[in-house]
Amino acid sequence: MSDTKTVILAIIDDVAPGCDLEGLDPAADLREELDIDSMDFLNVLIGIKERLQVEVAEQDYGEVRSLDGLVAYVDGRRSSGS
Amino acid sequence: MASRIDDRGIEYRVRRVLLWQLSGSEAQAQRFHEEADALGFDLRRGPDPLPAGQREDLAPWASSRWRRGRLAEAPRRRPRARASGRPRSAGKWRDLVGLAARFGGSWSRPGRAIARQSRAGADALAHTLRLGGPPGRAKLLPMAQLTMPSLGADMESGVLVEWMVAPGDEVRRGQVVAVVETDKGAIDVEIFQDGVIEELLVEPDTEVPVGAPLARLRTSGDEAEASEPATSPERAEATPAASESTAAETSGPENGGAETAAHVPSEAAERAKVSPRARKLASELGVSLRGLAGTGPQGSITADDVQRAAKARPSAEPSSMRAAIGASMSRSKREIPHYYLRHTFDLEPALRWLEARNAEVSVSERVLPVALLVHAVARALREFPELCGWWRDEAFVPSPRIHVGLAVSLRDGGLVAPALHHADQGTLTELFAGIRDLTKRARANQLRSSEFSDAAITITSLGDQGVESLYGVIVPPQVAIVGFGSIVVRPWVVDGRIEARRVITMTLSADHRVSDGHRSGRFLRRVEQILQEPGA
Repeated sequence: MSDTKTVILAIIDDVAPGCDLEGLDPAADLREELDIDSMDFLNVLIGIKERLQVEVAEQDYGEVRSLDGLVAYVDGRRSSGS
Repeated sequence: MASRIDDRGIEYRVRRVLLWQLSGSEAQAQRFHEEADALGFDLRRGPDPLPAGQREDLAPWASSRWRRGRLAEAPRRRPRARASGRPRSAGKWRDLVGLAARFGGSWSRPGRAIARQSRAGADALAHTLRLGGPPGRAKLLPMAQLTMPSLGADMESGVLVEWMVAPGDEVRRGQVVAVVETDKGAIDVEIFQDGVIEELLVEPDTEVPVGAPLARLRTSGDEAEASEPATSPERAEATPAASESTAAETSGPENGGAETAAHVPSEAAERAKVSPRARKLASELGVSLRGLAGTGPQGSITADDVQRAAKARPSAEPSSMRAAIGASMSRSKREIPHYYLRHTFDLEPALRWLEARNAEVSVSERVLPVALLVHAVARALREFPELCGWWRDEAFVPSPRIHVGLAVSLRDGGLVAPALHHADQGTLTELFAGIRDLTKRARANQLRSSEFSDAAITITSLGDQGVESLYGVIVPPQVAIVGFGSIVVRPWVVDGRIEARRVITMTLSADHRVSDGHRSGRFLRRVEQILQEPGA
């Protein structure tokens, strides 16, 4: 498990405590899987900005629907940005 | 026949009895206060026979609960209270005769007349007698009290979980002084008057009926109390000329009081014994203590009991919330003549504007569409006061402030609709910050008591993963609820051409006793219009 993934899961757990992250299908739509709303999702993105220094632009939401997508997006930005 | 008494006359007499009652103990007085209030007596108005000094002390004290709109609930709607032993008519009559005798005969005729003219009047007088208390010198409550707030129409009691203050502490209006656990989760109780905490009357982990005193407060300006409203401003303005000396905003605009007094005498018997460890565990595990069978000494609930309940029913908490929602919604459907309007409109301009705005700011300053919707509704409401307020005492009381209840679904099921204060004020960014904060605290069980009581209309929004429309059930005693479905892409005619546009369906469920479809339809259109020019 990558560090990014661990951090993102921790952020999700902070934002929406009690979600079943163990059983989460990393390829499935995150919000559908966890039943979190747009407010939670925004809070996850704010958490990512704070802890991983990556901003997910609104027009890129399509790329970050799943956990895998989110991890790949963040990793991509971190390696190219730093 | 000649002794026909109007409501004012009845009130005057009840006031007299009330004062008389005050010669008993403070607890007794408080109990009567609750009861008379729950029966719907305006103890402020009417001819006042009392000496000036007594009047000043009594009026604010007695009016504080009345003002919160409990008049709307007539006793006949309160079967539970009657079942708990309120005297029925035959006994009541005897009581009234007894009352007359105790007043030396001069009260005989008024007493009978009260019984004839008003069931509620008879109830109040009879209850006074039941509570006892010899006539004598009036001993008035010297201090303001913080009482267990009513945070919903069906709340009967709450558990005081924690004191945030200690005796001797200076408190300021709006300060959170205690945490109370209810069906709706843990709630921060705010105090609505400046002063010094004199005495805490209730230990943590105690179940306390609504309206029962929690603490005594020494107020800074005792002489100012009678004239200066100390409660939250909206209620003070909603019922003009009201004054206040109770320290806390103890109740919402909802009516939940009549059961209260009936519960007080048997409070000790009904209070479930719960060990602090069990209570802590229960709140951690989300297990409701209500109805939980205890296996400890004298039936007390132990940590093991909580563990078992948690295993048997992982989400025990929502069941009590479900019951609370069910009771409130049943009452709504029983009493409120709902009518429904629906309007679908183009949200594309607003969303494009929002996306352009969001592209320029950091993710932490991004605003979600829900803020646009709430913003537009709140602003439109300024022109439609008949949708924003409360139905109380068989009449509509418009709210002078646009405090919007936002329906927030909770993670383990259930929902709450805490008030977003002054939703029509401030910028969109500020509004969204308020929505975020409220949502977060609602889900973390950190709402404040005023947020449970202040909403004058509710907005419910399905967000972007729901369906196209929803028709809400009005939250009593409010008179309207606005529903937003999910934003969906639909073929839409723009300038004579069909385009794929993001549209939204807005609904309004409103109370036909207060408003009607013609003007309310204009309200929906006004919201649409505001959303066409989102930056304005």
